[in-house]
Amino acid sequence: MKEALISPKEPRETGYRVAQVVEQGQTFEVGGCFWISCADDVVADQFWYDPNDKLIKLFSVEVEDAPIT
Amino acid sequence: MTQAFNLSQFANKVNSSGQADLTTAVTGTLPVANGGTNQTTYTNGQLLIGNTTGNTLTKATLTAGSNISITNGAGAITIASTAAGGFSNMQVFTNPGTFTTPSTTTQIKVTVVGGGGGSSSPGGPGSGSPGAGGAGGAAIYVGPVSASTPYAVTVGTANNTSSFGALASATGGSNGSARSGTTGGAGGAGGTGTAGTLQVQGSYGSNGGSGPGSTPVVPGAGGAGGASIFGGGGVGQIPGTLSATPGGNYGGGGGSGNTLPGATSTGGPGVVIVEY
Repeated sequence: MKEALISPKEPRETGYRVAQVVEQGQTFEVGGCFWISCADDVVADQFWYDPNDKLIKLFSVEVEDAPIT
Repeated sequence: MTQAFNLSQFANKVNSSGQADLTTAVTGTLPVANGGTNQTTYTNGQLLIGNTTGNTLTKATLTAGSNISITNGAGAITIASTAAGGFSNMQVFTNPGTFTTPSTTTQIKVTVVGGGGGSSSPGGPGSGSPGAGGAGGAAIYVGPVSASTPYAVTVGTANNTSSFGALASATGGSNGSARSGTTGGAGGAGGTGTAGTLQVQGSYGSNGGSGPGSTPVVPGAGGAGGASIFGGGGVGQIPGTLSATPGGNYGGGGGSGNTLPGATSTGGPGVVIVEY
């Protein structure tokens, strides 16, 4: 499990931004935000927090070509 | 009718040098015209103020102006400033740490900037460019603190949050979005201040340019990174001419591009500045 920093002042979809994800025990005090436990595969800005059901959800999948090498 | 002068009584008020005792030999209040004050009682802090009208002395107390306090004591008047003093010290955190307020510090100013966002992965010949990174948000706190108290300071690296305890916090900027085919990606959103007296959103990164598709050697130009309150947005790549540059100046977003090398960049790290 990890910890996700939820920022209510940054709307995403119908909820809030997942601004940062840290390992458990690595959280720190952030005014105006709150931390919730999340799955290990949650990545900041690729997920958003839905306050209605208190779940972290994946954004619509972006189409990205394979990067050049 | 006149009253007989009682010499024996007056003699009792005069000492051997012929001087009258002012405590017992004189009655009434000595007027200003005779060198007196024409006053007999006072309260703490009262002053005698001369007045040319009537040639009098008037009792008065000091009136406190703005940001001034006056304390009237027994034989003393204390005048003090009640305004918050200016800040004369500054400490800049570019790494996490702890700030402990000095024993005499009760007011503080803290400026917090989150880390900037970076660009997404480049596309390829003929494709669009990804969006550039958004800048870190910012927050400024000015107000009271507890003296001799430690405050945790967190400084966000690229994309991450900076904070000064619960008093001032700002999130990091988002990375720019990937392009879709020949369409450039959207610039990343700036972070925002989430706590503090003033909360500021960082600028969005610029969108990536669209590619021509059928002309593989000319991909879309990169986007410029967003600016934090300190500026610092990275420049976008011009393929073959100019590489994308990372965000700087604390919290600037990274520029984007489409042709390696020089196509990707990261956001600038945040900062916490304490003035006290």
